[in-house]
Amino acid sequence: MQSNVRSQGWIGDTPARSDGPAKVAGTARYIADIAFPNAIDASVVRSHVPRGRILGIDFDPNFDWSDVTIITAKDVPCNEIAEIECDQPALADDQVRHVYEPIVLLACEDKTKLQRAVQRVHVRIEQLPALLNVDDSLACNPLVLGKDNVMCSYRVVLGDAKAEIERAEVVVRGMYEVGHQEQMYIEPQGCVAYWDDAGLHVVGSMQCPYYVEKALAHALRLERSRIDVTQSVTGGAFGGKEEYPSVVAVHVALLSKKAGRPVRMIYERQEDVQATTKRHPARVTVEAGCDRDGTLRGIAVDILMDAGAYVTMTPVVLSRGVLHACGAYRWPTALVQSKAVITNTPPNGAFRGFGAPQTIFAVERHMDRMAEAIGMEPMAFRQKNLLGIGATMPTGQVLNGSVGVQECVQRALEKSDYLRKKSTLGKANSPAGATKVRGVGASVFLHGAGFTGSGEDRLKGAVELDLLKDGHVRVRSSSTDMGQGTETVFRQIAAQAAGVPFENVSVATPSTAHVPDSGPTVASRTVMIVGSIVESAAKELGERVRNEQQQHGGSFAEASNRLLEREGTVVVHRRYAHPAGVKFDDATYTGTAYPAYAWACDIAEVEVDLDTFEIDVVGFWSAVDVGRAIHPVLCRGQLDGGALQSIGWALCEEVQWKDGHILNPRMTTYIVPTALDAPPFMTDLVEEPYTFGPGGAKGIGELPMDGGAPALAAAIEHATGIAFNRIPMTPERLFDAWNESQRERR
Amino acid sequence: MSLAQLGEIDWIRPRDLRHACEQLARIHDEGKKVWALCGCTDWMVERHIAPVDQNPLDAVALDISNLPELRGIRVDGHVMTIGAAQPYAAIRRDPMVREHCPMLAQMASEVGARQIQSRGTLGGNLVTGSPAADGVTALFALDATVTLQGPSHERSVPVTSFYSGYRTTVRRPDELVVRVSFELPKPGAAQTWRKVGTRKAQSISKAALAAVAETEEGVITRVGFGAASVAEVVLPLASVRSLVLGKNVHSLNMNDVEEAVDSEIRPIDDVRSTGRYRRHLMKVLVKRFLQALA
Repeated sequence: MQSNVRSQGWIGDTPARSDGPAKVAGTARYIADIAFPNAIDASVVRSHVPRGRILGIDFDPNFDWSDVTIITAKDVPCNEIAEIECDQPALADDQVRHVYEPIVLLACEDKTKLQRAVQRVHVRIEQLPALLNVDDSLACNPLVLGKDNVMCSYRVVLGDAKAEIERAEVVVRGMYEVGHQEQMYIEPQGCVAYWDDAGLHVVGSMQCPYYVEKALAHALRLERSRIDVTQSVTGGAFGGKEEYPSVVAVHVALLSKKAGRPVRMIYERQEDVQATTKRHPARVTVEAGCDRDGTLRGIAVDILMDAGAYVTMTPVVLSRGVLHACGAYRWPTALVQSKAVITNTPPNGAFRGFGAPQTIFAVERHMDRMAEAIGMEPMAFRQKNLLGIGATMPTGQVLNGSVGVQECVQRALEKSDYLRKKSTLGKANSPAGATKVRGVGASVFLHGAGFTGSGEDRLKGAVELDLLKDGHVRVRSSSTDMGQGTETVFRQIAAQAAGVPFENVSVATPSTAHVPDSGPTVASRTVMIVGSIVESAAKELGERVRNEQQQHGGSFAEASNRLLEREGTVVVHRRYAHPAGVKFDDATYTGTAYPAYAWACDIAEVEVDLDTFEIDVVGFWSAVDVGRAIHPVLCRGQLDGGALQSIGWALCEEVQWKDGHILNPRMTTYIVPTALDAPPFMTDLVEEPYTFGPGGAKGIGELPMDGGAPALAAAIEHATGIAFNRIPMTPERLFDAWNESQRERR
Repeated sequence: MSLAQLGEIDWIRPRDLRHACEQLARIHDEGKKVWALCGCTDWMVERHIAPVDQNPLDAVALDISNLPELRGIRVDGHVMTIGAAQPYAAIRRDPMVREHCPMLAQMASEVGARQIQSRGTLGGNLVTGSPAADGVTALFALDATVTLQGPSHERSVPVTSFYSGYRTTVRRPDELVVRVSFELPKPGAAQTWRKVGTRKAQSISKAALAAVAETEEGVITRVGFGAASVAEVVLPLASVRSLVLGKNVHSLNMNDVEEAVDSEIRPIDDVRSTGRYRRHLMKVLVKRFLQALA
């Protein structure tokens, strides 16, 4: 009875997370922990040049190859990794396009011999001139793709921005640059494949089992009914396991078929950092005009992204970057142009934020510049121009609900005491010769939840809910838990909608043989999009049992058992469809880009040591409109974790390159923040419900990645007077910039 | 040698120090490669990234992690002695170290991660010989003496003479580092451990300074420095020492100090930092230490 009372309030409650005990106790089994009898290990022979033509592959005749399984491009039935495009081969055949491109696969029972075998493969490559950065690519030096090395390009037009900017009282121009970012999930990539009478089985660390299934069907020319892809417990992903597991899965599937045994491939950290996808670097040019009273007139944004060697997710990353490039503001006119160019570096791909952090850094820094130009306090300037209900966005989308941004800004300003700190801290208020200076900075931002544009309509994600005996409910969906809490929140959503206790809801392991395709676990869509159909399916399931209860009496459990006895199985199937009126035109880039946006205001306070130029983030305030927090603790966990990832990107994470090689492919040298580097997070949840989200929830997984870098840049500027337009803002760069500014003063 | 080859090499766990030295000499005489291993915090990482050798190695690992002669911390009079195999965690927690040499305790609490501190040792840090070695840097400032045990001899060398070049030492192949000792700074002596790392934990230094100074009526009577990551070896900043020793703390000329630091260090650009930033760091860290004496 008590359970039933409580079950009315599962949304907003904080039950212990489902995956917690096993992870804390160390009993959770990641792919490397699972024993597959008779399995052998696999390794990859990769290119060693950024671009070249493969002349031949020599297998050392003095080496005993008898127990080594070998796969080259000619063994692949269809040598393509099916993603948005099929331009990336499973194994390079005639040409290589980056230094870590896979060429030969080897598997062997003896792990030491396997490593020796890798050294005994000699790939002869004729090196060709390579595009090592976007400037080479833009200059077509050399030309490697189409007529201009451009992979894709999008444009948003609202009115005549150029003309309006020209008429504005103040015009500000700026260029902003952000670099690669490595996801650095704790568990590296890994998959195991084996074959039996039913066909091919792949188990591995991944976000999107159906993406992997599609890639396997394509490369191995298999019926999808002959493939079962199962997600193992996944130790973090952040987008890094959206598309890349398809590559690993195809590799182990090919080896396993030829070897006739299960084949396991677990990447070492170094290989993972080198070969797998990263955040797209971007160079963003902004020109914007406003009047002296702070009224915005127009903005023109030009985005250039580095795609790397293959398409992967680049078109959708660029598109999301475009759609977030004007920030959280009312621009009467806007022109956003963009392109992503090919380079001979490992393909860039999905990473939390997916294009938006890159452009939001630019527009937020630019808002600071504009505020400075008209002598307004940057937050006052932002507040004057914030989007709100009824406002029109650059694609023509009219916001019709769930816009909590004003509230977010007010709360963050208040809780952080921003205005007082703005006037009392900072370089201007520091005594001469002070060795430590403090400053505050802020950013305001939004993040569209769900697939961009018409994506959700095309995808039509599905879930199925099973009624189990004694009134238990099982959710079957391909939305994966990679540490963010999917399983827990789905249980909460289903429990509340079906009217059953949380404990009576379970979530099936995502396996393509047993769960419907809910779409990938990406784009902040799991709670808001997939959760909404979990909610409606659970509601229907609960109603069916209660109808039975009304007609024939008994408890919920008894009625469930009667239903199951009578009908055999009781399953509710749901498919997602956008709410009426949500339409986007991909051809003109107009319409509703996202059905809902999460909103936030970040405020960072830093202390800069002017002796060592170390930057200490001493406080980080975030107020976030999440719609509704299904599980406030997990929700805050996502927000704080995402903010820390943005702090890392802003201050210390940098992929260093030389001739197409990564110089720092290790956790010792690619510097992600530790727990000691994390500032105190003061995170405030604002709840402006989204009508069509479960319980009013919006997607928030990516949002917190967007605002940290610009807020930190503003805080560092307040503290030191140094305005960074480029990240990471390392002590070395601050030191150089400081010296430069001292020289200028003299 | 790659970690994958662990099963291919011989492992010997000697009973005691004498046995260890005999084994070391014997294996060396047989012309085999030998590693004396204790915490393995560097060795395992190096093996992890090293390529596999095409043929099994004729090599031996000598496990010296349980030799009682290499353990312990003791104070005799004014001299502290620390066993080469005493892990950082024990140094960090030791009440005598905390009381008399807080700089060393501070170093031991910032080196690597907690897991590294539980296994890593000063002996390993000395022999590995990284120019960024935190432990070595602290020992430089203390003017520590390193004691080596050979098959039939024991000898001591000042830590500042222990290195002959980048990751090379004066240790002979048949010798083990058994302990380090140093004269404790007097009560009230200035001591500092300042590591500027790539982040607040689990970091290798961009530059680090260990320093100790004693004064009598304003005159510097003892001073020692260890400077990490500013040359191919840890540096004692000898010219700075000779510049300030015997001087009154109020009469130090900081321009001269900066010049002395400048002339001695040879920092480079690498994956962790830039040479010019490191140069700046070392100058400012030394200067701040000396200014604080006044």
